[in-house]
Amino acid sequence: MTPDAPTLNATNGPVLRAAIAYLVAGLGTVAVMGLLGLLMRLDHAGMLVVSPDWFYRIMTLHGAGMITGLLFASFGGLAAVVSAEVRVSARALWIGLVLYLTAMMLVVLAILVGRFAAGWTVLDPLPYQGKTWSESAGVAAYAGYLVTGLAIVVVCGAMLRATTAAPGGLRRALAWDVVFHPRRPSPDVTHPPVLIATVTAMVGLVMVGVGLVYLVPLFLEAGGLVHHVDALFSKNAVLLFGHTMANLCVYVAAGMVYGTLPRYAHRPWKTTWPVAVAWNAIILLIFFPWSHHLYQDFVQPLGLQILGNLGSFAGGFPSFIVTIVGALALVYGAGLEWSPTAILMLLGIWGWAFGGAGALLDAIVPVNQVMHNTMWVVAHFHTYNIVGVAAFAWAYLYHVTAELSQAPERRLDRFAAWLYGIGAIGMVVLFFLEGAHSVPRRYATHDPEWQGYARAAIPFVVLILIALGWLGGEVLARLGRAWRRTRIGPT
Amino acid sequence: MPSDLLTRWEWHPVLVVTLGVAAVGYGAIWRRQVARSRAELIAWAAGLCAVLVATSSAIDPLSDERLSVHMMQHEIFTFVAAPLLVAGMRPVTLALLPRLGSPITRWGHALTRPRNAWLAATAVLWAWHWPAAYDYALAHPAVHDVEHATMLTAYGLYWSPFASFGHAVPALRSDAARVLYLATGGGQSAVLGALLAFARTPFYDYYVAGRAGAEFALGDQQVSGMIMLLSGAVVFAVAAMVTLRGD
Repeated sequence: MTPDAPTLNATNGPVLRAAIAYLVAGLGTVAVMGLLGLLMRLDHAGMLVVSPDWFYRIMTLHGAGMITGLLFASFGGLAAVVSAEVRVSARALWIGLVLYLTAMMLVVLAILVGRFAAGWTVLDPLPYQGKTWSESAGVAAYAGYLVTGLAIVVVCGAMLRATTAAPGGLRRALAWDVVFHPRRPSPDVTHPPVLIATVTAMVGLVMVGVGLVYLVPLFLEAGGLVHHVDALFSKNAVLLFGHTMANLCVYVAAGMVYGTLPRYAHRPWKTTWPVAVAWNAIILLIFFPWSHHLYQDFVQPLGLQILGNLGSFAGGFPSFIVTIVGALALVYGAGLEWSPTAILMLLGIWGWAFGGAGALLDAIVPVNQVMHNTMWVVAHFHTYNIVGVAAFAWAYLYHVTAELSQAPERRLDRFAAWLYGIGAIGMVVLFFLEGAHSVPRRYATHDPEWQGYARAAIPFVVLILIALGWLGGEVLARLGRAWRRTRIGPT
Repeated sequence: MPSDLLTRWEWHPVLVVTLGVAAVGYGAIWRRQVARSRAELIAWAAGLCAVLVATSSAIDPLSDERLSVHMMQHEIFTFVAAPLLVAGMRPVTLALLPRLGSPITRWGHALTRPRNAWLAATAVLWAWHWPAAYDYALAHPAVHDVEHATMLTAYGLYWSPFASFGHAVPALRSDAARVLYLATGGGQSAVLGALLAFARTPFYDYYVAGRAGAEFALGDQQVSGMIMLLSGAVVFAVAAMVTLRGD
């Protein structure tokens, strides 16, 4: 793909419509979850009293909604990017969206009506026997997680089918010619977004298999067919699934960056040997770091603890070093157009870098023993997701609606992008400071001496919401025209 | 009792005659079609069988004792019989529409518009689950029959925008519209299911006054709510797989 080649054209109109629906549904969910996050921050600041019952319901909804919203928005964006080169099934994407909406409905109802508030904790007597919710609410919430898995299977299946349909199949889609024959470059090398779509689709399918490994016993337990699911087994399985899913978000979202940033830098982002090797390595390495969440479980086998430490470093380096160095090399001296899209994407690169660095620190055993149950972990994944993934997805939605509607990206909107950056960075820096001062995470009520961090964070959260309102308004203003243009093509 | 489910059948003469006329009449119309579709014939027959099972098998008497069985009966009407009958309806509409007056045709068009069909299904579902209405229907067999007939009709309307009925294109013309229609249709029934499933008190006096008592009625109501919540999710997901086209 040449840097100025259109990623959006009439031939992929049906996929673009589905992609826009994913981006709008996913980022809309993220925005609502952000408001819930503000409620929790106001509670931590002592400025609003949220009962523990409601706090944990909000926390459960905020976490589940954010991760799935970001993942599906990113899937939509990546589908749009690769649809310029391969034929993604729009029908499969729409079916995936119905499943995602169905899953979200089940989880929302289990939490808001059924008072489910177990988060992702599956240790007996959770998730079914809570003080405030019935077993039915637990079953409904976990049925929602199951349907989310089905949605991921549908979307990943469609992506993998699309990228491997061309001659050369999986070997070409994974750029193995570049990996194994770097000195004999093929004229028809797979472009990075297609490589990323293939890798993330494979990871997604395996990840859902892991999810079933813990969901099926939980459903059997609810049905009275097994007594209790082994605690260590279920904790490992839920983290192997959940941690991988959280990591997958940024890898999927990175596909949008690889497909879009070259257009603003006026340079191609090539599938070089490091890029091909790094992304192939992710297929395995993404499944190693989960165990760093279980260092404090003394019954966890030592081998898995070592794997958690080494795997976290191994898993982090190829992907984000290659992408970060690649992105900086791409824009260095390129006369980058500092549009809102480019600003948000570069912001996202730094979010990925610093969020990942926070995770690597937490993955070191002695650090983890002190920091893991503090807000440090909250800081790391908010940096990764809000400064990183969400910025990528907002950037792409802004880009796709601007390009399709043929309305130029407004210079004034750069201010909104910077505002988002300032708000997001300010918010996560205060999370990091809280973690560094050992403020515990997952507490519904914060002691007065901890409340200063949350109070200082609130203006930054408000800045994020203002920026998102601004960018969201711009996107909505162009959406109708962009949607219509998908039927006739932008040019 | 559950063990009677397969063997206990009660034949209601009016219903049997009605279903018989619907079957024979459809067969006669279908045979006269130039472009006959075996799938439509099967869908119509399966839809009638579903109505027969819901109304004449042990489900019907058991539904007076257990809300969960009553819920299953409603699910058969709304999620099985109604879409199957709509899927087989095309020959009937092609044969009858030219003979019907324009006011009836106009009403038919108006009622099968997506917004109106959605509103009708939602209104009927929620109105009949209002405790006073539900208890009244359970205590009065004729009203109970009306409840079932209106549910079947309302959900027939709900599923009708997916069918062409001889028009060039169905009323829902894009996948985006179909997804929105399915998601909101599934959403409203899921909310009702959740209210039943997660309630801490039983809603329906008729079942509370039954032999099993209030505690059983509450547990049974929670089961019925879960049936509505989860089966709705499955049905709307399957409907998406059948009706979405990638356009």
